[in-house]
Amino acid sequence: MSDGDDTPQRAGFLSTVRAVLWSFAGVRKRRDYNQDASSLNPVHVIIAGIFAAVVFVLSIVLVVRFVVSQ
Amino acid sequence: MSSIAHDPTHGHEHDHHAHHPSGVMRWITTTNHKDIGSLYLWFSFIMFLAGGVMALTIRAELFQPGLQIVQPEFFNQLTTMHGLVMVFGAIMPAFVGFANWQIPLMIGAPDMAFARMNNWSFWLLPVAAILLMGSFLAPGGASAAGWTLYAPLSVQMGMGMDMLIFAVHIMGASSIMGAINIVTTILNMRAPGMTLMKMPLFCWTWLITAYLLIAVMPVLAGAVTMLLTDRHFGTSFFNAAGGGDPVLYQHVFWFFGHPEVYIMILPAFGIVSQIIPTFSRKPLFGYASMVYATSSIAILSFIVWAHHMFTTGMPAAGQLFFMYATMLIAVPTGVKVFNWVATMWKGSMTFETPMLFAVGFIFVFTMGGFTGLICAITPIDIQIQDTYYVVAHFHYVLVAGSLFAIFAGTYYWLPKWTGHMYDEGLGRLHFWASIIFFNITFFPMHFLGLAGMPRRIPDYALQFADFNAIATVGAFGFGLSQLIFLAAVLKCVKGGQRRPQRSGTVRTDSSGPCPRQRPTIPSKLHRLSSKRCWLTGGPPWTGDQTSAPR
Amino acid sequence: MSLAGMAQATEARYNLQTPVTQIAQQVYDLHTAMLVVCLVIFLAVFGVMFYSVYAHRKSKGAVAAQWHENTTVEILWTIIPVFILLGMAWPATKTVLAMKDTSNPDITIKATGYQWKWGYDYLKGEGEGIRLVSNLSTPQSQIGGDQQSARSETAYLLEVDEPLVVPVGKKIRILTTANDVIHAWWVPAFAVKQDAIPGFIRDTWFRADKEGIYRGNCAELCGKDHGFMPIEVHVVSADKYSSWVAGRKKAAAAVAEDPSKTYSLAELKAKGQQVYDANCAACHQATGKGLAPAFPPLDGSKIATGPIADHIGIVFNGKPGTAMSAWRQLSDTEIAAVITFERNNWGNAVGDLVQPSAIRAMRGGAQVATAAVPAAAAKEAPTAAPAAALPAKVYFQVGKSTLPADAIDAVKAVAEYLAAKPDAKVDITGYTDKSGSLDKNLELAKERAKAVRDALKEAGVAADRINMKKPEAVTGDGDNKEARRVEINRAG
Repeated sequence: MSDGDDTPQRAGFLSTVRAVLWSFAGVRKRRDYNQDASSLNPVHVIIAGIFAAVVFVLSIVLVVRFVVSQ
Repeated sequence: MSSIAHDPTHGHEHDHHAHHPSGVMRWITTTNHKDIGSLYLWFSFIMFLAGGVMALTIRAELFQPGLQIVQPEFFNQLTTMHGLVMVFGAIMPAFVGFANWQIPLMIGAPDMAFARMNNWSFWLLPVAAILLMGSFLAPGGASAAGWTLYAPLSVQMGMGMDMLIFAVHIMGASSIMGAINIVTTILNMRAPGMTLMKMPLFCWTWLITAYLLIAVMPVLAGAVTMLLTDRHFGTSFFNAAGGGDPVLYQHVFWFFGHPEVYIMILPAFGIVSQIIPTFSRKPLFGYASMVYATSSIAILSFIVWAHHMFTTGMPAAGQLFFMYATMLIAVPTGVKVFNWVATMWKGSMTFETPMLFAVGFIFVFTMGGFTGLICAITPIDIQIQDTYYVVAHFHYVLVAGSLFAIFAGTYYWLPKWTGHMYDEGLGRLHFWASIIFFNITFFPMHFLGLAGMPRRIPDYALQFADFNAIATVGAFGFGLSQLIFLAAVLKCVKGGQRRPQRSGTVRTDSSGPCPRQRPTIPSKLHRLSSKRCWLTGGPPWTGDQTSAPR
Repeated sequence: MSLAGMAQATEARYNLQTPVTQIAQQVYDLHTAMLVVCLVIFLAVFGVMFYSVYAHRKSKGAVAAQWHENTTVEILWTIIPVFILLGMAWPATKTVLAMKDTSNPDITIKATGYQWKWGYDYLKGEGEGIRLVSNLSTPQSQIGGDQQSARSETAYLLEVDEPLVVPVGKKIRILTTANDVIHAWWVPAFAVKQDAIPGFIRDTWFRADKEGIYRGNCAELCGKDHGFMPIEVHVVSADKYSSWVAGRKKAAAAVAEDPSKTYSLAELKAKGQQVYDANCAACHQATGKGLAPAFPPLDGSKIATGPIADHIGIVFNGKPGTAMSAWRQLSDTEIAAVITFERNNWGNAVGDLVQPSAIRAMRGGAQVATAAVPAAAAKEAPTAAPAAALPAKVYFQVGKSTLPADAIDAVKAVAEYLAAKPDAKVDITGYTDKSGSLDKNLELAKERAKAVRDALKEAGVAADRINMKKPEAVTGDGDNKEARRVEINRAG
């Protein structure tokens, strides 16, 4: 996932992650959604989504390992 | 443009009139999304009745303790086939039928992207159905290993199991091709100005469902192929003596199986999300959230599969992981219910049949959601797994969920499909009979499961007798109520009041019912009202047929 | 939780069964808590919805509002359920960990799932070495026959012939495995359910706090009689348990089978009938006719009347890919007896037999060459009822009157019977098959009867206790093999 070489694209990376995280919660403002719709690159969204899912799984695994070791 | 002009895709006629085959050949060779949608829907209904007869036989045997009607081996064949027929023959094809009918209309496309493959996707299904139902006639009968086909029991089964495996492969191929078609159509053939963000929610839910299908149907194919090779070609995937593990089958199957249940419910969410706003005369609450939540449910559905396997002996860490993940995924699912209720709140509601089924769906599906959450708690699941509690849970979400949504969508779109209004009295009767008998049938099963009645047994201890009797009575009532639905549909197809002219939606032509074929290049969208109308997507309804809903 | 305390008094009709272990109590309470949470959310959500259905109807003149988004509300109703779930996850986690802790058990028992019964082996702790096989004991006549009114209110389909017995208050570790397909061992009152997977061993545990009888079921579809292989556990006081253990050990010693013993055909058949009824009749039926096409008949089958090595092979090893599982978990004597029974019952009359020593040799890897029995006399009196020795039949080869080797046993059994019953006498009658001239056959029949008489005399039977009785029809009774026989019957 490239960060891009100009400022708007950098903001794009953060926006992508933000959009994906909000999607995990299942909530989004219409205005932000329109913003996402017009500015986000779907490929980036998919990559961020997969990455966030992996992080989500690993977090749960860490919690479980902590609990089991008690 | 309601006359059918020369269509370059039918170039090999003798004369240069547009000439479409009629009679049986029309249906066999059609590449029209509406015809194919109708074929799927009729096929699904026939399979629904077949699966229903099996269910009634099961319930008849369970009416009283003792073995009266069928022997245990045949009883297990019935439970197996009832599940397979309903999942693969009734629910899934019905939703594909809706997709075929509605998606091109909703996005302004002339047809599906791969119209001929669409035909092939459908016609594979009757072949698979004949194989599947024909397995009853194989030596030894149909497979009796449960719809989940766990090894090593399924490896012991006779020839009926091989026919079943073959049928599953064919149905899988049909689903995958259909899913590819839907994704391609939605991503490539939207009318100019129809961005993804303006699509009706039904199209969104089907887009996501299609991705799920493409991802997991091959996994099912892998699982049943490994069964096939264990049965006939000397492999030991699921046989400890050869170095394999029966639990491997369960992992592979449920990796398919859990996304599969979302495949069966997401289109239902889409249908209900079209109907509630229409009949509340108010836009869907939190449309953006609904899109995001649906996608996240789909992705996260891949990490919860082993909540079907809590008793297989996985270590505590495994049980805890899957318990936490399953509980968390329940959140966005449940939240959607709040969104629907918020759509209704401060709306201006009327309760025609589609709305009755949609509201009924919310009520009863949510109950299924609660019992699912209870099943997700591992220690509780240790007690209720493989009991009638689970049977109650999944019938609440699949029957009161998916099936009621299918009924809702059928009543909602029948006027569009046929040009006639359905009989509202029959529709309401069908709804009330269905929801009452449904609850009579399946609510007592929660008690049976908690009290200790296992599933997949043809006879039971005496303390379970009265709830079983009640459930059987309810089941027969529910089954007979579906004949009301058949009557309503037939009556509507044959004729009836013309449906009202529509206003307030985007149209590409102004005649109704929908012509069989629309121009290849869509005309510019005529936006007759605000953007909001795309959210509702379907024909606006009025109780009094005089004015557009406002 | 007092709420749970009240609820415990009710029978299991609407709720989980009354818990008898601490784990089961935790599960019960967890479920009650989840029910309450779900009920509250349910009432809140549907209270709102049904109010809306009532108040926001067009026919009441309601006019639709036009808002359709409120992110704050949405966030709130996402976060609050998450906190509720976290609240539920915490006690659930503790119970999951407790359920998995099988360390330091007092007694370890292995439960093996079969199609369709349970076998229990006490592996460690008091009672070590005890082995039980637990079959459903509800008779068929109560299930589908004419005895349906005799069904037990509490135990129909949940009763077994040999229940599992454990002491109260002790930690019992249950290892589960299976012989054929996946089963599951489930006792609701203990909140114990563990899959029994062929080729693997899983474990679980319970500590029952109250004496009583607790019933459960197999909880994983395992074939035709999945609903007919229940579990019955008797939780008894420590003293009662000790005396039960002692009693079982004594009984086991008394019926200890000496696998080097030799048995008579009649003894093997009698025992084989019992083994058949308990293990084989479910599929192959009491008539031996089977249930086509899944369960082939044994009466007249190629295997049951053909080479004995094949018959032994299929019983011992099963037939992979079919429902015929391996039966090598039966004892040597049981296997030898049931094969002998199958070969000499119904219309089968092969006349050969298998001794337990041959089966034992097979387990050790030796091939079974022949079922012929060495002529060595038995070391002690047979434990089978002497009356089963009569009537006896001895079979001959075509045209021969010499006593075949495997007839020695039948003769011996008769001699022992006569030794045990000083007043008894026997009639000996010879027969032949239809082939050959009548004169020759009359002579042959007499020679055969004489051969048997001589063998009996050699075995110590006094001549005045043996009557030579002429048959009404010398030839052609039954099929050829059956016809070439001498019958020894009780006289008078």
